[in-house]
Amino acid sequence: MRTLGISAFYHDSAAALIRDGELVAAAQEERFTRRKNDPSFPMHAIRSVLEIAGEREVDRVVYYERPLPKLERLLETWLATAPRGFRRFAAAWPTWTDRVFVERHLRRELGQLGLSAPVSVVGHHDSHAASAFLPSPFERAAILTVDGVGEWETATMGVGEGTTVRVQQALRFPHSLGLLYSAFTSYCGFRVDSGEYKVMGLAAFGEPRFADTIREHLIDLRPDGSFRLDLRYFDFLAGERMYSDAFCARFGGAAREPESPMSARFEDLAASIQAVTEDVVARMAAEAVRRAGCRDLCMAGGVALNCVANGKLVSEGVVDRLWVQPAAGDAGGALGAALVASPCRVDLGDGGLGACAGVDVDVPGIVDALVAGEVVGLVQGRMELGPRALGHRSILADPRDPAMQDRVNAAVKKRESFRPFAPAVLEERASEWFELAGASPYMTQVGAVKRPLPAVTHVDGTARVQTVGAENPVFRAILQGFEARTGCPVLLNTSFNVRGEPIVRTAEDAERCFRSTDIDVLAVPGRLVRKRPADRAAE
Amino acid sequence: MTLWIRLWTALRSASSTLVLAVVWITVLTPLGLVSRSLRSDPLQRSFDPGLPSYWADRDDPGSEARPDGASEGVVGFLVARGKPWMVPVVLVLLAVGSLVVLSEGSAVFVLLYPLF
Repeated sequence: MRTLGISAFYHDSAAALIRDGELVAAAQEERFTRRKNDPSFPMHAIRSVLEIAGEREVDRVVYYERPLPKLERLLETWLATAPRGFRRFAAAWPTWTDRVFVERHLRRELGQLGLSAPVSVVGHHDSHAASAFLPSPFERAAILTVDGVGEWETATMGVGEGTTVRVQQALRFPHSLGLLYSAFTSYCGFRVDSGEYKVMGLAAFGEPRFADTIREHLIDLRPDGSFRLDLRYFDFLAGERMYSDAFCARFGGAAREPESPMSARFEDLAASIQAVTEDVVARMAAEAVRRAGCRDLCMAGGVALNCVANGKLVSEGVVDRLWVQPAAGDAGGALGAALVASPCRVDLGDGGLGACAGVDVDVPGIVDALVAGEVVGLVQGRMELGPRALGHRSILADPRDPAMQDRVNAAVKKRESFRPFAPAVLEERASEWFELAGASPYMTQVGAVKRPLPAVTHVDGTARVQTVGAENPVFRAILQGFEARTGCPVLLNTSFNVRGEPIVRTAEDAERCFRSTDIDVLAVPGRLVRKRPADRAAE
Repeated sequence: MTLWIRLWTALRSASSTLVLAVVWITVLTPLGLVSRSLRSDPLQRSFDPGLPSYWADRDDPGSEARPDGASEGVVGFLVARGKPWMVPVVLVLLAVGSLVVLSEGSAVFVLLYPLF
């Protein structure tokens, strides 16, 4: 049985192929089209996973959202707000028939790729829940999914055991933790659906002095983590913006203009919404493990990518063990949809699920460069699924050098200085360098830094850690080589892309990125290229 | 020439916006007003101090591992959800939707293009 899972048409389109109980391949469309968070039909990603599998046809195709409950929600929303809300209605219109008849639409698109398999649809949060639990190492676990909104649902709790996933309770739209966080994201001048990381990074600089205001006025939060939003403060039902005028009045004035200088008020707002989010997630997690009768938890949905909140679930003893897969957002929905239809336990390995670029990189050469303080762009092995580079499409550097954060930023990332870089550490040495409960192979947890690593330590003394075990052999060899020369088993690891672009996919993408930036060394399979001083002078 | 194309695109977009505005004003707005006066808030927007928890058991816990949904059809779905009155609304919206789609880049374009 070959099952193709698809997420598409909202953000982060992706495809995943499961064959006879095995996850063969998964990839995100943005890497091919070079359009970040590309929502279009994942034509290239499907071609790629079929090619990896050596298949030209599949037995069924599964889409990650049920169109009819979604249609009902849209209608109810329009009816609840009309005559307000016309612009949202008109904006939703052009794609409306395709959305309602998404199966027909998909069959037409799939036909162009020569696929004629039947198409079915599964629930959005069912997809998230399956993608959270079935790849996890637990035989039994509680499951929590939290995102913006699926069909009607914004958060669900359930339990997984063996190959069975049961989603039992739900919170309903418009009461959404994801949308609450996004409202603050856009108020702080960042893009909804992609700027949430920036709010999380910014939070460490501020004081949560608005947290009580949020709790008192914006949200009716119950001890079990369920809540309703006071919709007078939000305008996502009918308006152009996420937040309302009452929201602005409550938080001291106008929203921040995108790209304008940061001020203390917005740092405090970021810290406040982060604090409230952590509180809500902790209550939800506690309720999920209580109902499941099991203290291990799996999470998915966009909010599960809030690694700061995740880290606290373990460090504060809410759960014993936590597992969050690397593509916890909508890209993972493709995997989840396939898993709902063909339930089986799968292994994500080191997170590399896409096409393989080859593995014969010059490890000693890379180590030499890193020891000499150079910034190295690395492409090797299979492309990662999800927003994190896990040593396959990464930029690496020495984390001990206090100037390195600015260097990497100046050389390539060009991103806001408040966003920290992440460390990768040899799994068995992790506890000497970081406060972590267990492995974090997909960089989805945050822990306190124990020894000086200025380039990867956030202002609050924490880091988003990736632990590297035997499943990631080439990256491991580089870390081991660096440790042998320096005594430090840690490297700065950030995704190989320039700001605003998706992570590189092929050695050619990497070469282009290398040429247009100040990365010192490019390591791709079969080749190690050093930028000569003459090249720099010419730029 | 590009000026004409731009003008045409603007006119065409204005005409579909006009069609949508008519649907919004004549169908959805009155229905919304009626719906709001006859039904208690289907979006459950207000706080409810009487509820011990906002977690709701899922309405159809059988759906979790079963691909379904659109296969049962729009009409069947809305009837099963207890909202048969939504069926004509959806049909009107879909009909207008296909009209708008059809009028774009079709014979109408060819007929009107020489006029500009």
